[in-house]
Amino acid sequence: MKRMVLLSGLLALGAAGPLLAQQNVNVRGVVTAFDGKVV
Amino acid sequence: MNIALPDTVPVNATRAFTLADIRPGMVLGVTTLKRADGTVFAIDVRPIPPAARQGLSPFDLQPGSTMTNAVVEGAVASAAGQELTLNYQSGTVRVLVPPGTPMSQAVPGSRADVKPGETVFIAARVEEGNRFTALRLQVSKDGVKPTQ
Repeated sequence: MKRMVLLSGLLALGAAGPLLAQQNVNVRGVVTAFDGKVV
Repeated sequence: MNIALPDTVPVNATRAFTLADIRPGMVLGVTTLKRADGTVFAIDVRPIPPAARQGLSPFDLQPGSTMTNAVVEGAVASAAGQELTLNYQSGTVRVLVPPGTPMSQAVPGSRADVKPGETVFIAARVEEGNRFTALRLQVSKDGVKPTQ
């Protein structure tokens, strides 16, 4: 299993319209939490 | 919104970058908009790796914005700001850089730089179930914010 951490924030997506799996998007914002949780 | 940040994804921090740092031959990524009179002006400027693909492409920062990845051919001062001539291989464009245009550069960082209150720019991939995984992350440092 790939180890990951979760980043949370007041983030906004650059993409407009419905999101599709495997689509790349730009996300901009401010971090509200960053932990080392393995997901 | 939660975004997974795999261990394998590099984190960049941010350092100040100004008009005074721009030199002919440098490769920049310049986000632009076009005024009704045809003037192209910058809303974001950052140096990018010389190997980055050059050209013009739509960008999502603002409606109608364009990303110009190009080599600086020249820079001259004008009443409205600095005017850059950018060569994107298949053409050139003159871009006005008004005073106060956001600029910064990415530098190597670490996960220790990712803290509450910091500003981030994240290129991410949408996964099944509307989950997000970061592919690239740049975070503010010492008050210098990443270009968006």
